[in-house]
Amino acid sequence: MYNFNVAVTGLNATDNPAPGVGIARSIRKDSSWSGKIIGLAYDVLDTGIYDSDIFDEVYLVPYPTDGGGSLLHRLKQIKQKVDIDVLMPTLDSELINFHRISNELKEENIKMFMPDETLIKLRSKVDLSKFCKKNNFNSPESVLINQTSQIISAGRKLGWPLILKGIFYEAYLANSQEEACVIFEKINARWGLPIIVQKYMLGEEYDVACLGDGEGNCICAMPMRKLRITEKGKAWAGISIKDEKLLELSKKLISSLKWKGPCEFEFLKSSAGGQYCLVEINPRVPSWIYLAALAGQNIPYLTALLAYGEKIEPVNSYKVGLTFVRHAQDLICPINYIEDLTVKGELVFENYKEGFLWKI
Amino acid sequence: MCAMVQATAGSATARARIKKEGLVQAGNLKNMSLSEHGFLFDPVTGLTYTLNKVGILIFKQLENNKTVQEIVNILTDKYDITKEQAAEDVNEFIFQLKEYDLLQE
Repeated sequence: MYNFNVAVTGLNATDNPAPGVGIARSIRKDSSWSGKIIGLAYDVLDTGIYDSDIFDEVYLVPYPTDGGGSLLHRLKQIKQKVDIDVLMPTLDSELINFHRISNELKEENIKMFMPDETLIKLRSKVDLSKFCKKNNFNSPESVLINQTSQIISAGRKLGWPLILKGIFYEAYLANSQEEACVIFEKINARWGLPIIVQKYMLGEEYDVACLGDGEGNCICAMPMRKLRITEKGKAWAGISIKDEKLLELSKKLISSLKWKGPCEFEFLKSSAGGQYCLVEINPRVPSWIYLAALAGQNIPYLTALLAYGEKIEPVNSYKVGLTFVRHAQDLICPINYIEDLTVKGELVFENYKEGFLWKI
Repeated sequence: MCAMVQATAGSATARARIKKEGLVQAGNLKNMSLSEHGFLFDPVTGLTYTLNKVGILIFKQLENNKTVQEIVNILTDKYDITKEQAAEDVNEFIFQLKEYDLLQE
């Protein structure tokens, strides 16, 4: 039986859901663990905050743009209120900040199990094409652009339609130069430059959730076929599958990168030829991770155990044919919750165990 | 009587063409799981299909490595149809399975 507290970021589960809620649910599911799950949120209205069945306490932290210094300062403040044993960052945009303060966090006895800065940059959307060429993985051809005028040459090189992607999140299909210009501005306003322009490929989308031990060994790998996809390209329903080729490719990726921590590989199976193309490597747990946990590969919990210092043997089996379907649900909460977060930057559900102070 | 395999949500939608002359070669079935109600799941691709009653019967015979001729005989014993009708139905079903890549040559 393990008893330690885990802090998780990425609580905003809206149209582009962050993985924090799935991670917390997965850890809570494991019967060999007890402890608190502490949510670290960026905004008072990050939706997952209000799920008191999952989180014990929630604290606001500064946005990633504030840098590692203010993040560390805030985490030290939080540590004085609640013990954090393991911390699991979950957002692409915050990973480098967390890695940069990892030594200071270790001094505070806060442990993480995540890729280092070199690895995070190596698999970035900007450099993925280069990585794939070097390591003989198929990937769609892509170019980086910094201004709308470069769209013409990108279209000439890759052919229309094109996929335009932000450096951290979001991908859109552009059928014409005009449409591509509008998308360029939209992504630039949100995620900055450069924009990745990728050759459009027709095919079926598959994701693999993995966990690497940092020495080239794959602890977990579970492929999922997307059954329903939103216009933002997010899986809204999916099914666990057993595709040996996908497992082999994923294990090869973990081994060649010596990946440390959880990650998600996104593949496209080309309609023309059935070849798998690596579309993205996400350096963190995917938002659909609860499916893997229930299928028998509890990647969040195993990551927490690795961070905690345990040695974990590879888990090869999982349930095939298990399906997730995402749906929106309204969480009802008293105004006190929002007040606590807004005024004090924290919400401790234990304070409300007698029920809502504010009667509806 | 008509054997049917249909792709469900998220699956490919191609419909097999009908080949009427002669008996086709069955080939090798992929490793799939079929429920008693005819819900077919391909664990490699994650695709699902539904089979009708006759489809289930033929599929189970294919799983048991029966030849097309043997399946035709089973159908004519069970239903009031001619060998030609049964052969046409089995052929069509096998072509549908091949079209969905569930049966390999």
